[in-house]
Amino acid sequence: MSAPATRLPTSATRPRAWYAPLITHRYLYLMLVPGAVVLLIYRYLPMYGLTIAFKNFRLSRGIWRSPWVGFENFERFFNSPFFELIITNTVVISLLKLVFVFPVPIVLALMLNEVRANWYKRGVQTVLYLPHFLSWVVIGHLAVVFLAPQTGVITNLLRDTIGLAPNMLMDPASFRGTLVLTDIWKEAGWGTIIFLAALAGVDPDLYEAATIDGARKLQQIWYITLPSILPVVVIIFILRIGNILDAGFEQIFILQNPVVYDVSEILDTYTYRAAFQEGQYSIGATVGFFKSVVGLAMVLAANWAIRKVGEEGVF
Amino acid sequence: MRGAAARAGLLRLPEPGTALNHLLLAVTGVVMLYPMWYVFMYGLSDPQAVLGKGAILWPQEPTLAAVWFVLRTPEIMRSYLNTAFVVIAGTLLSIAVTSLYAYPLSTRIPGVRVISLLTYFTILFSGGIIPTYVIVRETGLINSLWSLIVPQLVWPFYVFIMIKFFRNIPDSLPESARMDGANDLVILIRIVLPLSLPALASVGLFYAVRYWNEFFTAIIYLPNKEKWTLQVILRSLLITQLEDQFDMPSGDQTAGSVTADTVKMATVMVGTLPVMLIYPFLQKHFAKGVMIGAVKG
Repeated sequence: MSAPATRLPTSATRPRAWYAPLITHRYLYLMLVPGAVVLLIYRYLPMYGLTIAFKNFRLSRGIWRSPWVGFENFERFFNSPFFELIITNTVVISLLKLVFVFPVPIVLALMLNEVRANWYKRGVQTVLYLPHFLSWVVIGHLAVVFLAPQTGVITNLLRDTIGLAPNMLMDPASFRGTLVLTDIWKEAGWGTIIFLAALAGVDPDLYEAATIDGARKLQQIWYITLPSILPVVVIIFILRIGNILDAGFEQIFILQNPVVYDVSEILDTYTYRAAFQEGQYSIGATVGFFKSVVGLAMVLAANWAIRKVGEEGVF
Repeated sequence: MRGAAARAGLLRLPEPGTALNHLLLAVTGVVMLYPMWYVFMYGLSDPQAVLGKGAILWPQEPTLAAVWFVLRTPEIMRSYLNTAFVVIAGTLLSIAVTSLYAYPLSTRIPGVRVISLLTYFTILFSGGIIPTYVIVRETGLINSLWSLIVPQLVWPFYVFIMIKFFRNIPDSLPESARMDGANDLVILIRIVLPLSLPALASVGLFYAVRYWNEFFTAIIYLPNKEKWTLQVILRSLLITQLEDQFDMPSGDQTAGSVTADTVKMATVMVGTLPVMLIYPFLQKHFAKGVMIGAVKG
């Protein structure tokens, strides 16, 4: 809506004061206030709060009165035996999800796109979206009900039919697989939305021409559909790489147990444990600082990469 | 959606391909649906009848005993009320503040670019868990249900969805109201918002689901049991023995007609039903909301 700017007061030749727009558009500026205050206090102040990574922070002393300690917290974090473990876990789990979770919504979207009966398509979509609306707490409950050793419904089914009873929740060898599977279960359906939108934008004439040329359905998908949605796929893929330090905090926090810490302790869960279980807020904030700064660099790099491949960036 | 030409192409498609596609989608659907279905059927079953049954399709010797038990347990009901407060107050306030914040940013008044950029920056970079906790603490919200609402009142991503939507409204409508002497607030409330109901519905649903499912901030901001929300209770039911939580006889042995298992299932039932009943009706809108938001944050 461009209208307001065109109606600035044009009275006389006197140059307008810098605050003139503030008066003309006072209602618009006032509307910004509540949201701006919330963002300032709860988004921008915590950024300043990151300074506690460089302090010996005590809750009782607050951010401002805790003494500075330079890079001491960083030295402790980088030299701790956990450093390598949690970086490795964070990156490995993210990469596993990138490889195994990322393609699923694309395939599902392609499948949904071929369904002609609208009622069937919409019905399937409704069901596929369901898990997205469940909290990880509830999914943690479902995981126990279905996957727990001895009692899990799937565990027992597998044992009775093929004689295998994998311990999906408390075995370091398979726990990351469980993270991948539960992530697919929760978000694959929801992830189709964006790809379905891209698919709806494919020029129908292309299919017509291909049909006249005698292209089969699979050929059409390969030569027309996939190349058409490739830009969207690439953008989302790069964005995911940018978020590689987000390995899925709530999911892991909920599903994790001491037996699988070694393969699943990530930056976020370590932050939580350091701060709220051991009271080492500064160490927690140091890990958080590391994550925020490296994360920002990765996202900016991702955005640069998207422009590089010829697409509009996210800005 | 591709018109007659594409349908002509479809005629050449070998039937088995279509059938296989439909079948695979149906199987995927069952995989997505069955876990919750199972929980509901289990929660409605008699504990003895369902014990050791494995996968079930229907309630075994149906009974509402577990559901009644949940509804009569003060701790669970209190958490339900807490969650209801957070969801209702939070969603209404969030929609109000987000609309107010997004509308000016959809115009071209001076400063819009800078403010948008500063807002966008909070998506890219955040103080993280601990500094945010410290600020929430220093603003006196710990142990108050408002701690789940106020810090997250404005979700920048949803601001941009709203901005995009507002920008698609033809200028002529607010402009003619302005000619009639309406101020910007009146224009927003009387003209722009009524035209933005689809966006309000999807953003409202996103906020409501967030508030409903909020878990992590609840466990760090609300140490006091009185203030626990549904997700926190659900979590504690999951990781502790039920009898430690509430006044109830042992777990696997029957306590009248309920056991720890059926009560857990019934609690999950009660804790997911509202969201599961609402989202299908908003499907058309939220799909659009995601599309608007996802392509360009």
